[in-house]
Order: sequence, then C-alpha cells, then structure tokens
Amino acid sequence: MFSRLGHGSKEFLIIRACALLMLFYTLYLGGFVVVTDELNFTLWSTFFDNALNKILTSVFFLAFAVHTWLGTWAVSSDYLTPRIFGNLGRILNVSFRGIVAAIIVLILTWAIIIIW
Amino acid sequence: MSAAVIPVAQIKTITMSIYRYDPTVDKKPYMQDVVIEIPTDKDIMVLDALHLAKAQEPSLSYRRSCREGVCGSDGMNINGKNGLACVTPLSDVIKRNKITLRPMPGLPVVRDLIVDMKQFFDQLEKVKPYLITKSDSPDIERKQTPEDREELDGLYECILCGCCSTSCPSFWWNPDKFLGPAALLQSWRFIADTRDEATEERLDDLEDAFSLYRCHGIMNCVSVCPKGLNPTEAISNIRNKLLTREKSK
Repeated sequence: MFSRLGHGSKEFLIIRACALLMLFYTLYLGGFVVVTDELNFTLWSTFFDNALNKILTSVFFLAFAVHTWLGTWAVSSDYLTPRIFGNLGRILNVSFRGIVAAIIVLILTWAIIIIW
Repeated sequence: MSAAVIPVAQIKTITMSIYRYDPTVDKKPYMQDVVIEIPTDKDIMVLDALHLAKAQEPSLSYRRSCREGVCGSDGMNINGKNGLACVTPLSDVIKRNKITLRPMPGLPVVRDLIVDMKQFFDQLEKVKPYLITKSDSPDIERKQTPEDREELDGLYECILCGCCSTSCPSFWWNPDKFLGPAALLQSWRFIADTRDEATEERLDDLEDAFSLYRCHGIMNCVSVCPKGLNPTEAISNIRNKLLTREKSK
C-alpha cells in the first residue's frame, strides 16, 4: 500500500500512526488505573508482568521514539538553520539532533531494560 | 476649477507609523510617524491614506496599480495583519487614531513597503501553473462540464498578491523549500482541472517532506486572503490525493 508514497507522505502517516498508538496505550493504562480500586505495587507489578502488556508498553516507547525523532526534525529544520543563524545554524542543528538522539536512545534503552 | 474646501469640523488627524528603509541611504530600517488629515464624513482606504502620507513624504515608496483589489500590487502588513491597502477601509484597522504599516514579512525589502517577490514567484513557477495536456488537441477546444468547471471556483480567483504566503511561518523559515499557500492553491487549481493531464507528475513533485508537508494547517493564509480564498483546504485536498492515489490506481 505504501509503495508509491514519497518521503513526505510516509513521514506524515508515521507521525500520526505513532501518535495514535501512544494515545491508545495512554487510554489503556489510564483505564487500568481508573478501574483498579486500590492500586498498589503488587497490582502494578502484576500488570507489567503480563507479556501482552510488556509488548504494548514496548510498542508505546518505540512509537514515542519515532514520533519524537520525526517531530523534532521538523522543528529543527524550521528554526535551527543557516538561514536564521548563519554559519552557526548547521552546527546548532547537528548538535540539537545529536542531543535529541542521545535522549531518545537513553529513554528507549532504559524503558526496555525496565520492562523486560 | 478650484479644489473643494473641507470644513474644519469634518477633518481629523491620524498618525501613520510607516516602515522606512532605503538601502542606499539607511544603515537600518526605522519607523516614521506621518500625521495626515482625513475627512470624517466618509471612509477612505488605507491606500488613500498612504497617498496623503506620500504628499508629505515624497520619498515614501510602495506599489499600487489598479486600486481596486485586482492587481495584487499593494499587499502590505497593516497593523500586524497582511492585506491589500486598496480594499482595506481605514476605519476597519485604525486604533486610537493610529495605523502601523510594514512591508509583507518574510521577503527581502527593496525599499520602504516594497518587497522583492522573486522567491514567491520562483515557488509559483515550480507548480507549473498552466494546463499540461498530452492527448491530441481537439478541433475547437478542450471542454468541461459545468460541474467540472465549478471545481475551480475558489481557486482561479487568486491574484498572487502574496499576502497568504508571507503570513505563513513555514514559508518564512523555508521559503526556498516550502512552496507556500499561494503556489499550493495554484497547484490544486490545476490538479483539480479535468482538462489537465499531468496530475501524477504534479503529485510526484509534492511528495518530498517540504514542498507541501511543511504546512501545519494554522490557517494564517485563510485569515488574510483579501479574496476570501482557502489555501489550507486546497493543501488538504492535495494531501488527501497524495495519500489515497495508491487506491485509485
């Protein structure tokens, strides 16, 4: 289905698909918190011991990583450019992308270690 | 013939704060206050007020031609919002007897209220704003049904004044990559035209991450268009066409 989509169309769809995944997971987790009478560590731990919930949580963080990477790329290619900052623009852009990438990898690794 | 004398009671003074910059003389731009007298018994347009200001400051420069919202020459930033000076009543925009005029943002200033529109027209050129046909020409003309022709309403009326594109932040940041609302409205005008036979090529040209997809739908373009057109809707139509054309094949 996506074979004819170009770079822009693919990104447009991926960003929104990731946002939907995160929304559904937030509602799912929120629903668990709301319907649970007295939430304690045991219930919380049992919830995340479930294999399906581990997978769903991992998918959430993966969606978060992709959404953040593409979203911040759009922001940085608007504001951190040679057009606005001159020669400094490219350095600022690459630095910002590097910091964002490091934060995403850190969060993703941390999340995977905790979940699994 | 003697000029009509306006009674003093029917005159009021207003201050026009106008962006001034002559690169041959000024090191940097500045705002100049020009006090003019306007009649109180009738409304005048911002362009008329500019003429009165120019009578006092002959070096003041701005574009104007038809003075009736057709040529699109006198697009400028009026109290922070883009518009055509010739069709903007002074009474609609004046606040505390003051009006502020600046050139349209995002384009290089040539002088005072005149901007260099090259970038704007370069982007328009990219969408090939003309009919492209591949089939043999019919004997007389390429016909459309009245319904097909109606699809072009709200698209062909654009006068290319630049008010929309220069009010769009995405165009400010990437004027060489993002085509801008005016060019994209024209793009949809020809994609929607049943006589055009280059739809696939036109869509292929918009598939990158910037040309069309930099539009975030903030609708500044719709808010400022002096002809009441809706570039955001046109952009949305193109995007839907891009995302669904796999199915239609």
